Amino acid sequence: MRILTVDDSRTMLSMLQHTLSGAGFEVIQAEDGQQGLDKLKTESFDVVITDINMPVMDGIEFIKNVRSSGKYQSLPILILTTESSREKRDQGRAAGGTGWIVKPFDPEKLISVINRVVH
Amino acid sequence: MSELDEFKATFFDECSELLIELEEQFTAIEEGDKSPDRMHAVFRAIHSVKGGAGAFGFTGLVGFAHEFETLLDFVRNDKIEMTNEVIVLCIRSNDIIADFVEAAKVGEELASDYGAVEKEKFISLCKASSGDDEETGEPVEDEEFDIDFTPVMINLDEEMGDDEGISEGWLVKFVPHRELYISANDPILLLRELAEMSDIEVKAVLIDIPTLPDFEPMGVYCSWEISFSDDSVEEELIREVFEFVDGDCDLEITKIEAKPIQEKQDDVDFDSENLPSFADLADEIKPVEAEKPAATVAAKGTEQTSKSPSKTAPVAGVQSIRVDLDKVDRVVNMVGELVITQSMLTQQMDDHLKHQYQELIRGLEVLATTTRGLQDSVMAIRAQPVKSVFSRMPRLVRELATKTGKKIKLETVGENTEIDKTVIEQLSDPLTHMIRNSADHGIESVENRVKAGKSETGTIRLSAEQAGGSILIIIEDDGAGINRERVLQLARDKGVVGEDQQLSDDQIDNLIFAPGFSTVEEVSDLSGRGVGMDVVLSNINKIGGAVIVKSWPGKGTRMTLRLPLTLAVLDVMLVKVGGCPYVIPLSSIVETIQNSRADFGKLPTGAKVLQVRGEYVHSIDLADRFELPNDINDKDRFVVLCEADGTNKLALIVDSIIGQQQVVIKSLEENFERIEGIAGGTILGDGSVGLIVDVQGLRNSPSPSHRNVA
Repeated sequence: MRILTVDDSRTMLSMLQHTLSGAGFEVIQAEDGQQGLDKLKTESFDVVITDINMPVMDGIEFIKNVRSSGKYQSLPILILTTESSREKRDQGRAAGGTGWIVKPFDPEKLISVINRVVH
Repeated sequence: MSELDEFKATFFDECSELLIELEEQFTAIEEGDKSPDRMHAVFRAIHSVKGGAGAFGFTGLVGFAHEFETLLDFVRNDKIEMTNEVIVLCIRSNDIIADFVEAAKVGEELASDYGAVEKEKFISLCKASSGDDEETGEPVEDEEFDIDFTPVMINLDEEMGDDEGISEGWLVKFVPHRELYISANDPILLLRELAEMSDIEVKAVLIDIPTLPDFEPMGVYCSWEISFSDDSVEEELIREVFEFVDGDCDLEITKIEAKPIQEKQDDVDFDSENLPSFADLADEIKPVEAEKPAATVAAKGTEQTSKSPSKTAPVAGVQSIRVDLDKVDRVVNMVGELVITQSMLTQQMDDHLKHQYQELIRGLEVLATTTRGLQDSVMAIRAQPVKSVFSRMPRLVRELATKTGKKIKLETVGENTEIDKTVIEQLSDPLTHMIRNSADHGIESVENRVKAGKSETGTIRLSAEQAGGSILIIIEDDGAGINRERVLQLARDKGVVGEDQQLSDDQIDNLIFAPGFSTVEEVSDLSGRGVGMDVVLSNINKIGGAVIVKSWPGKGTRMTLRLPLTLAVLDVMLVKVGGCPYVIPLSSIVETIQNSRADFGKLPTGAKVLQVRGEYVHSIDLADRFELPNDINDKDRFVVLCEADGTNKLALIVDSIIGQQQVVIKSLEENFERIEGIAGGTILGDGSVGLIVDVQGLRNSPSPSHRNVA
């Protein structure tokens, strides 16, 4: 299973990489929404995990873009966020986010959340 | 290194980059550029610090960063104005963040109230601005999922019957809203997860499914009733499964009291494992909308132009990996050895061999080109923009201006000029010192500037550029210039210069770098700190660089740092003196002249000077200087005209010129001891040691023979 992780923080990317590849997933990284979109254009993924606050293109915008290209309407997108406010989650959901993971994440929880959204 | 340590190391690396970025952003903001891009950038930077710190449990840092972040969030949403007061607070807070990071790095705890004053200020600023509607914008701190907001219907009976153990299980009514699929959530997965928790029975309610013409492919028309046959599962856990669809569905969870659940239903019996996914189904029926042209993406992208690429954002598409510097160094060293081997092979090819093995010659030529290319590429890996050092300077100048009560503006040019990483690391201290010097001694007080007819604000200009094989870093100020009279007097008093020694203006200017020299009687708080400019010079010399000062009384001072592009490999001219090989850095050579054609003259002191195009150049016979036998006819010898620094030339007389090549520098100090006039050593192609002539050092130190004559 291939997972696209989108985050501008290298720390977060490497921790995700470690947790996910440890669980047997293949992990591809992007550093902002635009890079994420570029990856999606050429490769296929089973899940996307994205941060919200990023330069160039933020997570919300990224999700909107992914959803608006018909190809990815059923691609699960998890939002990785420190924001636990309702408002942010609603924004994420309205954009088309499938679910969210609150940073700092618990590795086990992360895996179970991924399993929750993937076939 | 454990994995956690590795992550931490990444985090600290990232933090120092973020801190540099913050510094830059706030400098620009302070200068009046309050564009939304910058506000977003500073918010993001602090946000990232907080995110990482949370992962490693640096609670002090998280706590502080959180309040800082909240403030910046208010700022970027225009709820708080970025006034000067706020900017000052932010800049100070950067320092505090840096302290927290540093403490975390070395594993120390800062005092629990560290940064408390600033934290209080953040909180009060945010409170003042948000007033009553404070709740809305502020992130909720607790990590629990705030389900209490959810429009969930709760059975009152169940609420009251809260005791455990009485109930027999749960009945969950799950009614997705029509748009559930839009977020790529899929009921089958939720049902599967519930099935993993406990034995469940699932009943699908299909009465709402419309006829095909009215059926919208992406719509959800089913709802489900799930019964748990035992109560070992907590309600919380069930709700958690529905966490992501909370808001996209109506969820009703009721306790099933005493009597067992309904008899097995006949209508649809759900085997959750085999349930076809509705998303799949949708894909199959649909793709009317699936081929929306890419234009939609573009249109969406332009909706929020304010969020599109900012100036400072990295260019998307450039890919990078992070490599241990050690690994790069190993490659650099090996390439260095390769260069030596290659030049050795070339040297071994005498005319006889050349004639015999022409193929081999061609191969060697290709090898030379490839080696050269390899070397350039490896060096490019080590190169970094000087920005990382320059970016710390605006702050320094600000502090200096405040402390001295002067008005000083800093201009930086050429921040993207790249230099070897090792050089950059060594650059920060000397640069700091020189800028301090400019601010402290160069720029005059406001009064004096006005008196001299200058603008109130003094300017320090910091620039970097590549010039041939070197990088020039220039620090220029429009201050008073060096007070030569005072400098010379002080130098005489301190015995740096002999009483009757006559010096040119340039020589006097460069005295400020002389060991043990400082123009300020009491060590000032700013440039002082116990070290003089001589330390700057020795630091720069250590990395193979040189400093030249030029001063214009009343108009300003310019200090030029000439640094090598790389430290590892040097292009040189190989010469012979007294039968021994010596190498002269190619970058300092201007031209070579046959001795018989050179026009020498003698000064009354006995010093030999060379006349080149109307200019008199001090000349040194390397054989004399290094006390080597000199049995070659003067006529057959050569003069190598060098440029010791930007302005001063020096003529070196050598026995013969062997040729050009590249050498890998080996430190003499590390392997032997420091020798006056020699910058280092190298292993030549035939295995012998060649000494690298220190042109600048020779220029500055009077030669022994010269002394004898005088």
